[in-house]
Amino acid sequence: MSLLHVSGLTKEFGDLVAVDDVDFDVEDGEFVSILGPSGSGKSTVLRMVAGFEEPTAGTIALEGEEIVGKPPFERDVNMVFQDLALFPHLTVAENIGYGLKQQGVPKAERRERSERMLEMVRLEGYGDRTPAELSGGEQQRVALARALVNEPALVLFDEPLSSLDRKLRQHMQTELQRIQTETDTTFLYVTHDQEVALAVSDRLIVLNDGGTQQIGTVEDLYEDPASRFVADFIGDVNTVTGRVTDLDDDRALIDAGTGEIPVPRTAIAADVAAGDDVDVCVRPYQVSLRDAATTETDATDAFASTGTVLSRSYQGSDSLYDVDTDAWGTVSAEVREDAFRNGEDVTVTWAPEHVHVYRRDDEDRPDGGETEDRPDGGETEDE
Amino acid sequence: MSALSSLSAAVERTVHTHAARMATAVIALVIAFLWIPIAVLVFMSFAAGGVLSFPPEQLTLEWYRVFLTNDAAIDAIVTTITISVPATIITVTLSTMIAYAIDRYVFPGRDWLQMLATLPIIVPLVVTGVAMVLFFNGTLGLPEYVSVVVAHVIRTIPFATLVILPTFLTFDRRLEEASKDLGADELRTFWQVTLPNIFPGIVAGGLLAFTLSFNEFVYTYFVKGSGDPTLPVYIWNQIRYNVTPEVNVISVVFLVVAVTMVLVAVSLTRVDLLTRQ
Repeated sequence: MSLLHVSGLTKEFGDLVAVDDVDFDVEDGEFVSILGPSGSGKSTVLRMVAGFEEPTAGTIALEGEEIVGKPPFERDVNMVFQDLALFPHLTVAENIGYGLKQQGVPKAERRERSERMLEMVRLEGYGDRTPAELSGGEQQRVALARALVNEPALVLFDEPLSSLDRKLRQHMQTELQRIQTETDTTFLYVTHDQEVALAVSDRLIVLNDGGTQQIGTVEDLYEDPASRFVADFIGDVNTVTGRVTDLDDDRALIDAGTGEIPVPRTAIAADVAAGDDVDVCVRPYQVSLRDAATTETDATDAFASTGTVLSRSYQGSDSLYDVDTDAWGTVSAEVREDAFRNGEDVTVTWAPEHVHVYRRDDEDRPDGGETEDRPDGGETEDE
Repeated sequence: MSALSSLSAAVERTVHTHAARMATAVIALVIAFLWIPIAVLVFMSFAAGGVLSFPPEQLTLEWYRVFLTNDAAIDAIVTTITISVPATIITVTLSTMIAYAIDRYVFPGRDWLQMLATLPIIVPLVVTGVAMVLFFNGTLGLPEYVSVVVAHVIRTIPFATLVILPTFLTFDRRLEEASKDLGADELRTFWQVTLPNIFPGIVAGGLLAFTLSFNEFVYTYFVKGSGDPTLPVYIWNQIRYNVTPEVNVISVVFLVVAVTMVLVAVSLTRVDLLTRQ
């Protein structure tokens, strides 16, 4: 039995379908993230689990018990709010002890458990301060402690780290993981920030426009994205357009402007048919660059095009090149070599087994349907 | 055009370079015109001799004794309090309800309610005073006491609402969600989270209402008939017929009431805590 079982969850606000038939499970002890752009319905899902919104349809079961219709104060979940919502009129210790007080835990025990929680989040001795006297990172820890001290079945996070600067955010990420392991609690974490989600989660649920795009581990989503949206949203990706000229059980022939290339069937989305216009996606690290003068571009079994190096940036051990290709416009390549200079003629290639092919569907595209797609630096900033 | 813009540029430069000094000068003027006369008045309440001449020849507590043994003055204070206390309670209740409604609900007439509640600040006191005499005493035939209390409520509601409303508007509703999330039901959430956070504003509004009501003269003068005078009306009558340093003593009483109210407000509302947020 899953700790949290969500099935057919739907929420309509008037004509707007904010959450559309979402199913997922969270197992005991897991760290699961719901990832999606703003307006994808991720916060609404969380608020329905917490009890602040009533679903239009669907069920939410916590430890096997249906909780839809129960008020928030009768659900064994605690939330870390986006703006933290620490009580300004109470001290840090009183904030943390608030949930225990509602359960009728005696004062001495409340004090003791608050102290222990403060130790857990490394804020020993902060109990008598007021929230306003703490820094942003310290307030985060108090909000976390206030939720954890109640030992709920599930802790919900509504993008609590989005207000922190990047360095502090990364630090809190590792802290979250440590605390999750130490307390052996189940976390359901909502964010639009793929960096946070990829770093901390056991599994991810990708939402877009209220619907589930894919559920899986970070590796699943990165290596085998179920849709162009997921490919684009998780990590960086190059997308070129093409057409399926032939399709059978083993392979498809795809013409992306450089002749028909055989692509394994496993790389092609199930709904693709012969004759369809398709997006061919490939990760920058799967793209190779070669000196145009020394290689022959008689590629009949790989995607290849000549082009000119536009820019180069170091990424630690790799270099990220933007190449203006003759066939597809700008393509990004992440390669080991740093031998290429701006303006140099190169040949860009990638192997057919590294692509993911999706039926063209302009509605699906986060960027509004441009054909030349430059991966953005991977940083999704605050909404 | 260019002459005008160069003039405004010159003004701007002057303001920019002399802003701090000008601010100091303005503050000095305010202090001079407002507080020096008050300081003199307080000082004069200790003046010996029956006339208001400065400087006094001798200092004495005589006039405080006269005031405390003056039954008419003490009656005036009692009368004032019997009007101000109920008026304040009614005002705070109504202002809180108005502020709550404006903050929480969208309803037809919401903007009008806010304007109606604050309108009495703009309308000249004399106009409202005359109107209330005609309406309460004439048309409705209300008892004098009720008329005065209602007049005080009308006088104080705008100020109390203007003080209470911001506490509602700045109150973070997420705190109520957090409270419920942590296991407190609606009622406990109200007592433990909502009330403590809006209470300072309500107290401040109430103290302001009480101070205003205690000092209220114009409405009271119009609406009140021949009955016992309130303290401001009493002092007015004294000045007209018989100016003694006892008037200064009564003025000091007003000051003490006002200052006490401010101190009580500060201590009750933990202003230090609010300003730190």
